[in-house]
Amino acid sequence: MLSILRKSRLKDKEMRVLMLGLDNAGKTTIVKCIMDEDVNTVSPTLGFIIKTIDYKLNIWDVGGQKTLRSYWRNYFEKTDALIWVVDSTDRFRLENCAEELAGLLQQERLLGASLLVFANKTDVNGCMTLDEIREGLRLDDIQSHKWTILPCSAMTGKNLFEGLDWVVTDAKERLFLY
Amino acid sequence: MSSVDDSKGAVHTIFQEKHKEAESLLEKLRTAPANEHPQIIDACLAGISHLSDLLKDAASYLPAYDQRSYSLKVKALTNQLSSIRQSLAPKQKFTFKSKRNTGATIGGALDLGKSTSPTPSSGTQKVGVEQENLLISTRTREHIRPLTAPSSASASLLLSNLTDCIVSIPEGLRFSSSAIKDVSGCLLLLGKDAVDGPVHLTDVKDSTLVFGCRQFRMHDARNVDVFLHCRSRPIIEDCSEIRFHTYCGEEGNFWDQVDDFKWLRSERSPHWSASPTTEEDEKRWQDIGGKEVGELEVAKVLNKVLGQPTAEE
Repeated sequence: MLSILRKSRLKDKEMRVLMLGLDNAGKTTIVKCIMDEDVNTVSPTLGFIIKTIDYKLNIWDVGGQKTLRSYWRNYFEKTDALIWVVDSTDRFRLENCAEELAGLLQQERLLGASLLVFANKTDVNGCMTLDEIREGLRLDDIQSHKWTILPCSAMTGKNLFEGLDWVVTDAKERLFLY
Repeated sequence: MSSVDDSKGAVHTIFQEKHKEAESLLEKLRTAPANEHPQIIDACLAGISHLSDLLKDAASYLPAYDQRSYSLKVKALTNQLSSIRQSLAPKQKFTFKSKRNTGATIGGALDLGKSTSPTPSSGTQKVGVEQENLLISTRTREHIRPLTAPSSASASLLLSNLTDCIVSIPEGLRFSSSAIKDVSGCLLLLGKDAVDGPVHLTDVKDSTLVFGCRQFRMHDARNVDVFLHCRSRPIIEDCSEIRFHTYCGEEGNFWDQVDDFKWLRSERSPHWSASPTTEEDEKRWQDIGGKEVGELEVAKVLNKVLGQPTAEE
């Protein structure tokens, strides 16, 4: 039964990537940059945005405000990969960010998804280093998910496609394994 | 109808069961040796999130009273857990926090509060430029007017723990983002072009803010006047008595198109209002921003701007 399901998923080759993170992390700006749209007019996200890349990669960009976080769970189903976006300049809320991420990784419905952590806004001087974020989010303690962390910038486009490549390659590997 | 009743009953049973489990876990946590804590805490967190998920799933058919009493129970569990966690041996995160509270330098940030706080007589300070961020923190009743800023426009302006202060950022200083936290009874004059990016505000009380930015996000604020030029729709969350005014004209300014995360109905949110600025106001910001204000003056100016008596000694 499972193999049939997997095959059907492979056939239409659609992937669902869920992009989450605290408010002001730059999730929508990342999507805009990937889609080559204007990044200077982004308003805070009131609900969620779905974008499709190359007809097969669906990115679900869900708002990060406190009020919206309780709705994140509605998007867990059928998620192939989770992108967790961190504002590298936000030292004030790194602990809060770690707690929210830890809470997400407890969720049963996300167990199959790999985790890509985007350390965003690394074009800003004086932002946290990758090691600071890695430590702050306690990434090395994660055992439930395959994960990686990449510094990126939604303003310059740095590493955005590299990150997506990792997500796609990883998902493909997993699907072909069985 | 009966199926709804059934599921109500089922929810009740499952909830009671899971609630008991969580309670016994909490009890276990109190007595368990330290090396078992992380596992038990994880189990508690998972149990609590399971409970709240259950409630949300049942939200459509559970009576309002039941929903309320259940969610209060979940909240009580969460509170118990966090108080137990605090009473247990302090973990890594506490050292991080206490470091910050003592005003130590955070990463590449420049700490103004520590270096100059014992000399309140000087109204303005010169700030070194070798660091990348500008951090103004833990100040009371001062006029803070940094004259030099980080060397590049790609840095953050961080303001935290300010009480009864005037902060004016002179024209020409540029930041790519700003975070403002724990500010009360203050006047923040950042200017129109100081922040070319998002401004993130938390816990701002009884203050007046004057600035331009690309994104405006405000959380947990009360009784604040915002003279704003914002190039996207501002949002507020858990705020009340926020009065928005124009700043530097209406062109490309979304100052009055505010979205309130705590108000989903179609009627207007009661948490904020919008009214245009008078020329008088604009002139006043220029006057205050342009000159140095002595220590005694700070209270007077604040008193006038905020329209309420400030603590005087």
